[in-house]
Amino acid sequence: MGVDLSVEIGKLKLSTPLWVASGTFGYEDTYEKLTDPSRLGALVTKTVTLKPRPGNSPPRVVETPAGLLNSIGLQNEGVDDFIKNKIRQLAKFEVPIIVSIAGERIEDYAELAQKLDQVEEVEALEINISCPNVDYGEEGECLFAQDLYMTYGVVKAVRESTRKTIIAKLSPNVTNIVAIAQAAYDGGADALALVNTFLGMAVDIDKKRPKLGNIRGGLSGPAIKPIALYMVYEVAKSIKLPIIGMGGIISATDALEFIISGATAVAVGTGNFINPRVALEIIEGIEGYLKENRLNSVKELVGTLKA
Amino acid sequence: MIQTKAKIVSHTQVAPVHFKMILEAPEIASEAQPGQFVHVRVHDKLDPLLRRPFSIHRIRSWKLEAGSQIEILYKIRGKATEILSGRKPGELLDIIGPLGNGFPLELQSAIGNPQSAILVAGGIGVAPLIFLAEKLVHSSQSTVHSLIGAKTKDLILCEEEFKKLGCQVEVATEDGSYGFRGRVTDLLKNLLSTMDCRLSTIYAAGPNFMLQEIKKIANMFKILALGSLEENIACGLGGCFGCVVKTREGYKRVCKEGPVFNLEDIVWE
Repeated sequence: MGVDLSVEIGKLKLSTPLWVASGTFGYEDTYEKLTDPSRLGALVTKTVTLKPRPGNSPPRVVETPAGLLNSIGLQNEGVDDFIKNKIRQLAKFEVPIIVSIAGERIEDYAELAQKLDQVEEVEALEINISCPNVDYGEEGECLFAQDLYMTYGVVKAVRESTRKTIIAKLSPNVTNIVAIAQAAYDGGADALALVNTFLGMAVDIDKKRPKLGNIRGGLSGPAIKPIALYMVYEVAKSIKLPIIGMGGIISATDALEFIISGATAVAVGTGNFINPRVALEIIEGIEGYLKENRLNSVKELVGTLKA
Repeated sequence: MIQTKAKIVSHTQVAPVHFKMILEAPEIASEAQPGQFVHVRVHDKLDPLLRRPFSIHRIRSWKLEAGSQIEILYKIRGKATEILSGRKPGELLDIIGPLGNGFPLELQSAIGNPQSAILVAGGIGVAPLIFLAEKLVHSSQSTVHSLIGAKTKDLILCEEEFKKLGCQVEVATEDGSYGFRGRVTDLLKNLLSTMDCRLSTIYAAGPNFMLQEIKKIANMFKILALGSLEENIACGLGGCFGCVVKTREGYKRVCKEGPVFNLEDIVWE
């Protein structure tokens, strides 16, 4: 008998505990030529905003040792275009679609949630309050996910705007991730996505200029994995919500570390850029590990860390 | 387009820091168009992490239409290309391709039938232009001019290859060690002032400052100029929006809408 890879996140039923992180899979047909998205647990879209956003000035990506700094700036055509033109391309894979949303004000999040609540193909919302590459206007000098009250406020506003599953995606750029996770829990989140990218920069010493057009960017890739893993562990210990662990996962071993430390599911982001098939290879690796360890279900492995 | 483990057929040094690699990749070779690229994982370790894009230098085919091998011509410019240069024939290389939009092959011109194509190569920018020259020479009656520029004589690449194809070749070096003393864009200005530009198209590849200069020249002579742009590319597949360039219609992805653009549309800041 095969092993059971299915997991539940809120009302979502996933056939495998693995999906691709927001902003790393695009909406292009390119990926389906190289991999099979229908075998993923879910598809998380690139973040959509109320109005179209042009994104940040290039250069937008710079590689660092075992890492990638990006400052894309949420380039997208806006939620109306997404609903009209993009959702159908994703729906054909017949896996749950999770739409990542971001706004500049609490009201933006509520409006986005209301609009997407009406879209049948959308099964869940991921609340991106942690993108390091946008300015948040008057309401904050910081990311929403760096403030307890804003985190609570945004999650609560989305909760009141939709009955679909909501996942709060948190930032690692905080002093106490558990407190922020608690605020998201209190606001009514069904699950937590941990973590978004770490703020960072790189400098061209000949030109004495930042290598990114926007000076700072978000660091992802294997370089951040130990820090992301520790945050998942800390939050899983004290918050009773399913966690989707992410941050530098590029192998089945990485994914298993997150699951053992308390993540119910995991996401691959930067790893997709190195190998578009990596998500499928990780699923196979998890399956193999479960068989070897005589486990019937991946659920039996979640949070089994002996510490 | 596919992801494949391509066997390295041969790998030779052709200039001080320049290498030519032949890869067995029939699916890519049969689909590829000039100006497209392959996205190469130089090793399976974590640093460097990302793939690196290399334009397809040439297709080697046993039959007339379908190719079976591709060539890349590259310069060592960092850690990834340094590692690539150490890869040996017989080893397998993880590559994805062909990617991007290449050079349109139907010569366009302001009026009537085109008469000439002008290829302008700056430094390692020469790489995609051999493949393009082959296609142009075989598919049209028009004259193909190849202008090659580099800093010094030993960095002038592919002169013989262009000549063998029947191109009209001119060379410029910045230090005057070979050919015209100056920049390749000077050669371009000289050439354009002797011909009817309305019947020609410029195809350029090289550093951004050269492409900026070519845009100005093309504007001055009212001639269409297509250029292959360089940016830091992460996914190479249109997914991450990391490699954008500013155009008159907003940011466009070099890996997806490009790398070849009408230079008139590019907004350099």
